Amino acid sequence: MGRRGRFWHTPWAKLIAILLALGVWQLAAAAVGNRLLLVGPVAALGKFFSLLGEGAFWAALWFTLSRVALGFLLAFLAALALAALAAGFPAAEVLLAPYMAAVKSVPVASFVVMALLWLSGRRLSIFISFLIVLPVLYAAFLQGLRSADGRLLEMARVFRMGPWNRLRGIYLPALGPYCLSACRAALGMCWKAGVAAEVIGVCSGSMGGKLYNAKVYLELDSLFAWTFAIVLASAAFERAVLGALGWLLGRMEGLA
Amino acid sequence: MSLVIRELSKSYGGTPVISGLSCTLPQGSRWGILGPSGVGKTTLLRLILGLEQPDGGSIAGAPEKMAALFQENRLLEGHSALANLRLAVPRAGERGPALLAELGLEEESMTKAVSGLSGGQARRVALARALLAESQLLALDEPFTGLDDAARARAAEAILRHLGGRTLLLVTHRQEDLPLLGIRQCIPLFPASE
Repeated sequence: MGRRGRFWHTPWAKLIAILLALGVWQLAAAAVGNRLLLVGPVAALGKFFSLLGEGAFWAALWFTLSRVALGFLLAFLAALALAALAAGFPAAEVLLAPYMAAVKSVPVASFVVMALLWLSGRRLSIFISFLIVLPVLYAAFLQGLRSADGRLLEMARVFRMGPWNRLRGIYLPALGPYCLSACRAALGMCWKAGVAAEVIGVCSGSMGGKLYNAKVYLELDSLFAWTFAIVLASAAFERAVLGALGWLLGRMEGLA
Repeated sequence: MSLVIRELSKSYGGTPVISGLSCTLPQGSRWGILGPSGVGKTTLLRLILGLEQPDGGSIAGAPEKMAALFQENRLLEGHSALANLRLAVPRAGERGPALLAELGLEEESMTKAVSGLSGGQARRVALARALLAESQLLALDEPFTGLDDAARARAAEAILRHLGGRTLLLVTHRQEDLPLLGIRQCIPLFPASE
């Protein structure tokens, strides 16, 4: 690879690409010349920074974050329990398969509309985040548990290793990589589905609700600013959860 | 109590590996399981350990507690030698480091992940695990693999020192391993086609 070729693999090249994209966006906004149809990045960022100074922004962030996090946590625990059950009992896997297939194939919007009949808008995003993430984590956890080394399991049987030591010594190292990669995919999905539920459910006081209001009042700068805030919150949440999970897995394995 | 094997047979995919084997192993006795590859040495060990079910015959009086050194080390790769001992034999306590030292494992190697140990070092950890486990029967499948002559003699001494009243089963393809562990009798295994 030549010197020029190598440049395109450096962080500088990525920065240039981002700046160029922002430039194209700004030029497009200037060309359209109508703030009701398209606002540029400067206006969107300006709105974002002004939102940071408002108490309602932080309240909405907390509202959505707490619900998405709770939905994810419940899905994580349920997926782990169900995967352990399915790994131990083949009948459980067969009986669970239709539910997992249904959740994976039905569109989020359908679930949101159905769930609105049973739940208040304020709880909707917990349920939808839970539902969308559950099959992804369940499939990965099951695969991870199945990848545990059969020869080590034989060794554990001969030495009559206790369940906790089997978990730390054999299952966690097998589960770890599957768990981290599934969570990486699921965390983003969790936010998208949770916010979509808030938008469809017109959940006031939430980030999704703010997006809905921006659309209703044709405040395009708010729409972009809230979208930017959601992307940032989702990325920060993903980093925090993956970091905590990696630390926790390492601690549990190392507690021998 | 004796371990009694009667008319034991086992085949894989229609090919007989063990056929009509009968013998009695009194508690505390030492046995060699000798023979060329494919004669069913490891299969017999797996049947005794309860890891496989026989196609015919029976094994009666197998002790409740058994310990094994498998043909492969079967160590928890991400963990240290000491952690491997603690996880498999939690009651080993302070005997673990002492036994590893007795087998010739250097102190700094005891706390390294076993994935970073040499073949011979890892073999010693697996042997220590088997010796530390509370059991009435000790099954060793090619225990001296990867060990040089000095380490082999050291390992044999440690096995004899820690054997106690356990029944010993030694799988090996080398006749000269038998006297190292004071073994004078062998379970007669023959190629099933003979």
